[in-house]
Amino acid sequence: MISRKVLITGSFAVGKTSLFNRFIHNTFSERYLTTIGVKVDKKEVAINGQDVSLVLWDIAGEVSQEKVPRTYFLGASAVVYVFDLSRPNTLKNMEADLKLIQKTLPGCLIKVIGNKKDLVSEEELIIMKRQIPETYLFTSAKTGENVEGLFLSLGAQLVEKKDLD
Amino acid sequence: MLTQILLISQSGFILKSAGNLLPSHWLLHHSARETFPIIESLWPYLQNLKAQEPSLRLDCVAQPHPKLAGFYCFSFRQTGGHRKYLELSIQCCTEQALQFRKKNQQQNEARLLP
Ligand SMILES: Nc1nc2c(ncn2[C@@H]2O[C@H](COP(=O)(O)OP(=O)(O)OP(=O)(O)O)[C@@H](O)[C@H]2O)c(=O)[nH]1
Ligand SMILES: [Mg+2]
Repeated sequence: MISRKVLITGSFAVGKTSLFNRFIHNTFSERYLTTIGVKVDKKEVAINGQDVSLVLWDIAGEVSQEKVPRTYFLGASAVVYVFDLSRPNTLKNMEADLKLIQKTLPGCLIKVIGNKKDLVSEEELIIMKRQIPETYLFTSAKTGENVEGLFLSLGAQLVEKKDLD
Repeated sequence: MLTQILLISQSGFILKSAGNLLPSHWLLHHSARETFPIIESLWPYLQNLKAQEPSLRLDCVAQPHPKLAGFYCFSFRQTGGHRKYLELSIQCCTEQALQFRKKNQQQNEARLLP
């Protein structure tokens, strides 16, 4: 079985832990308990007959990725960068953050996620979509919308990447 | 002090274990990668650690094993000698971590206020 490290990062309170818990345990809590350090857990998924172990790292949120300890990036095959659709300021540092991640992990797969989709209206989403690349995905850890899809498509891309390498 | 020191072979098996975090029979001869997901995800990197390099430290790892509640500091180093082993020391740091979280929680909640 192939095993891949996936780092979940972004600003604080954007829903990183909630996405982690939704995917790994299918649970959600309204209560905010900030993460410190790192929590690691894994889930095995089957993609086109190939078993993949996705080992997720849920780390403490930082307003800027410069503050994230470099050791957290070690060996990551993919990074899920999360922002909060209901707090536009969580997008403020995204450009610089994504550049830094690309520099730290050249060739790594990066997925940008707008979370808390349930908190914004369809109209707001349409406006948001006009301003950001099409590949960005909107999720809700609360309702579960697109969460499984996010990690399965990530797994599929990692399998594809392995076949190409 | 709550600690555990493990000696891990190049193929990832736990060869020696000393400490008071987990009973040794849960660890000895088991795969370190299967026992700790954090090791699984760092394995290719850990295998390439050099003996002369400073140890790799990860502070504040939350619940690294189903039976280890709280927070732990992980420190990996490659031993010297003609046979390479990975030495892992795990140290409980729950008390400091909870204090730190309290501070961060207050700070983040304040920043969330409109
Ligand atoms: N409505 C709604 N609330 C969410 C969603 N995801 C997370 N939340 C809430 O947002 C708050 C923060 O969620 P966390 O998952 O702890 O955020 P985090 O990014 O891990 O935060 P840090 O660990 O501090 O960096 C919590 O109160 C969650 O219940 C979502 O999709 N919808
Ligand atoms: Mg968190």
